[in-house]
Amino acid sequence: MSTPDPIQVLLGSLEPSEPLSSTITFLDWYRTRSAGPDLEVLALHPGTAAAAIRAVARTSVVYDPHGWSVSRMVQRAGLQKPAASLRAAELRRRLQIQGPVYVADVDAARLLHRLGPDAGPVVTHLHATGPGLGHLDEADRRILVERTDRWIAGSDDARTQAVEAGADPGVIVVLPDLLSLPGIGDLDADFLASVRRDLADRLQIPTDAPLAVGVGSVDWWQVPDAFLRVAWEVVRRDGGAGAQFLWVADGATDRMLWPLRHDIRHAGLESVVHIDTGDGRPWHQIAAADVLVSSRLGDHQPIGHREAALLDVPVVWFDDPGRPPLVDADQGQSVPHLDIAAMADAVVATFGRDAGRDRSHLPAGRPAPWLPIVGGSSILDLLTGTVPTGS
Amino acid sequence: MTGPAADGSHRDLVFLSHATDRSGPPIYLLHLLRWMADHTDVHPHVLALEGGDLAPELAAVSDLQVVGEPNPVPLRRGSGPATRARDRWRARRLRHLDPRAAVYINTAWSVRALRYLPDNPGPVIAHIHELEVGLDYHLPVPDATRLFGRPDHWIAASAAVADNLAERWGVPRAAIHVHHEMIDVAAPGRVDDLEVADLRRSIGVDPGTRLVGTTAVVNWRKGPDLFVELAARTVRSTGDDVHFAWLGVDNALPEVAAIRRDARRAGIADRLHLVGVSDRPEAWMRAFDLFVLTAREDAYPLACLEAAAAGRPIVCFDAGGMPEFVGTDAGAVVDFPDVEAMGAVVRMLCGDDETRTTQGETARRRVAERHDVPTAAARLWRDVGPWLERR
Repeated sequence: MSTPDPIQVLLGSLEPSEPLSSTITFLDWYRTRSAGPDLEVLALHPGTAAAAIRAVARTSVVYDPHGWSVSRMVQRAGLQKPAASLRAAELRRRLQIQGPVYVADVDAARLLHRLGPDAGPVVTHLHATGPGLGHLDEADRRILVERTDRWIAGSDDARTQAVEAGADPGVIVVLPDLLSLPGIGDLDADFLASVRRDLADRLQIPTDAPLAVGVGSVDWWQVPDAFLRVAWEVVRRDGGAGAQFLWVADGATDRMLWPLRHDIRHAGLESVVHIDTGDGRPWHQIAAADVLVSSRLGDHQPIGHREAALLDVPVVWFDDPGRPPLVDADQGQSVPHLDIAAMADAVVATFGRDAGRDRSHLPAGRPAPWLPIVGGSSILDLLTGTVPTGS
Repeated sequence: MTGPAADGSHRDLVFLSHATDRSGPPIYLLHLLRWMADHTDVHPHVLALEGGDLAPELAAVSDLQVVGEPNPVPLRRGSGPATRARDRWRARRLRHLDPRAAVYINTAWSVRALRYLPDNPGPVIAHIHELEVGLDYHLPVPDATRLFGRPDHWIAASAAVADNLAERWGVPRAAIHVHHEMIDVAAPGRVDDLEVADLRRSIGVDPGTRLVGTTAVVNWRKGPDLFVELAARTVRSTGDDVHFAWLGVDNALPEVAAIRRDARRAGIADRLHLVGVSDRPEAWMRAFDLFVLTAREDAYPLACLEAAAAGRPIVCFDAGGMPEFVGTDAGAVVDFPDVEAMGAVVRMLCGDDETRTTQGETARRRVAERHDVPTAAARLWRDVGPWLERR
């Protein structure tokens, strides 16, 4: 009996992102299975989430600054062009493979130029929260469409994007990005209280202070910056005094956080806005929050929204005209795009209405497509070809 | 201009510049060099790390050499023997320079060029145009060590810069001389009214419509996110026809795509104009009705002085050096990051022609008194000239 071909997972970078988080959730679920083909990850660029992904799968990185390769040695000698040629040759050899290929984020499209002709099926995951296909070079977008046999779209919008790029609608499956909430089965009132106490101790804030949480990367464009602006306005409103704000930036380095800390200091918000570089379980902080402030501009259906919805934490977010909200109306409120004042009003209103409410009832274990037990199986079925495609 | 001074000694002065582009410090350097050509016997050399379109003008009044970034280039890896050999070759090309010449470091970043020069017994002057972002965030530690270890004399582009040097970097206050930036204040007066009308028409702004402008490269420090929010707030809260323009955008930057996306989603795409780099900034300043500076920090931007020379009031945050110019009567200073307050001032000035004109005239008078090249350069030279005397 022959050994099945290993599954090759391709990634653009190992910087923390919601697509990467979803991928890690899939890989973590996969490794707990008792049988199945080997699985290897190849990423184009390194990143601060490297340890998290190496913990769940064998991983190599093309542009690994710490790795060893002939091309790397040549590059270190300052010979950039020969190093690039050698790297291309190394990559081509590495990708002369047979068996399934999972393009887990579309930034890995560049690797497909070197992918051998016998590889396949190629399953491409166009996540709901990723940067989409619009930012890819034309050549990368073309090779992605040409080589992809099956698509996973994280949302209807992602599906539309794939179709507009030339994908056959008949080979697209819509599947929400996977969520990982390890330990959610332990969530009860005592657990919530202990998380809140830990946070209060760590941040040196009152345990009963209204708490707004934001989660995500620290790309400067409008993510934590808008969060900080909301905080600045909230504490100046009646009902907002004493509020505390926590930005959870899993894995962020001091350098990545420097701009946010600069703004916090210059806005005089050192005792109001806090940063937590996380313990890999941002859902704990979301669970402990009175409101999730989703200040992301450009992403839709971010994982934090769905975690908050699952945990019954209200969300306030910027509306994007023409797109349906994910969170039910009774769990949150949208405000006009970039309307910081309206978002601050919504946060204050949420504090007044929802702070301290009982959230001990729990959706843990409810079968949902974003849970790995369901979604992971769907991805694997597509890779191993055991189900027909089609939405 | 070259040759011995009155006492028989040569007076070479080696300026280090980060580039020869149209950013503030190289423009400042060009003004100073032109003034020096008419008023001193000093022989200026300029060593620029990178090129730019100001190079021909700089070369007309100095011995200009674009030497290239030394190894290692931050954010770009590679410290092999080939690049080290390249740097040694670059240093050899500078052997014609008088090793006793005075060195004038024009911007903190340009201290990197000091690596190409031999240890120098002559005076070293550091002219700092940067605040925290430039010194703490961008400047690599070895270069910061070099910058703060060598200079004999310090020039700060504003009192805010002097405060930062003294409070965060321990430079003795007595060693710091504050010299604000300089411009050609007559330039806007030479602009034809027809050109101004054409510029406004080119972005669809009628003569009776108020145009709020700014100019800068698009990056986090300059606060384009705050500019978009300001525009959105102003447009939402006023029925008047107010437009906003950001001059100097590079459409290839992802941040510019983000600005366009945010403007579209906020419903102000037809009110927010993104204009490319122009070699006629003085004409654009005339086209604006008032100037806003949304920078999180800026030492003392030339753009504000150019706006003042065009008779435009300036609205800025209490961040950086510009409040030293604006005071209480040449525009307005609001708390950082109070975009609501900035919006209120903008609305007031857009609707009150008399106040806008009065404040603009105050700004014009102030810039003429303090910042015209002949005045400011002579004032600078009263400090610098004696430092160049042989010790």
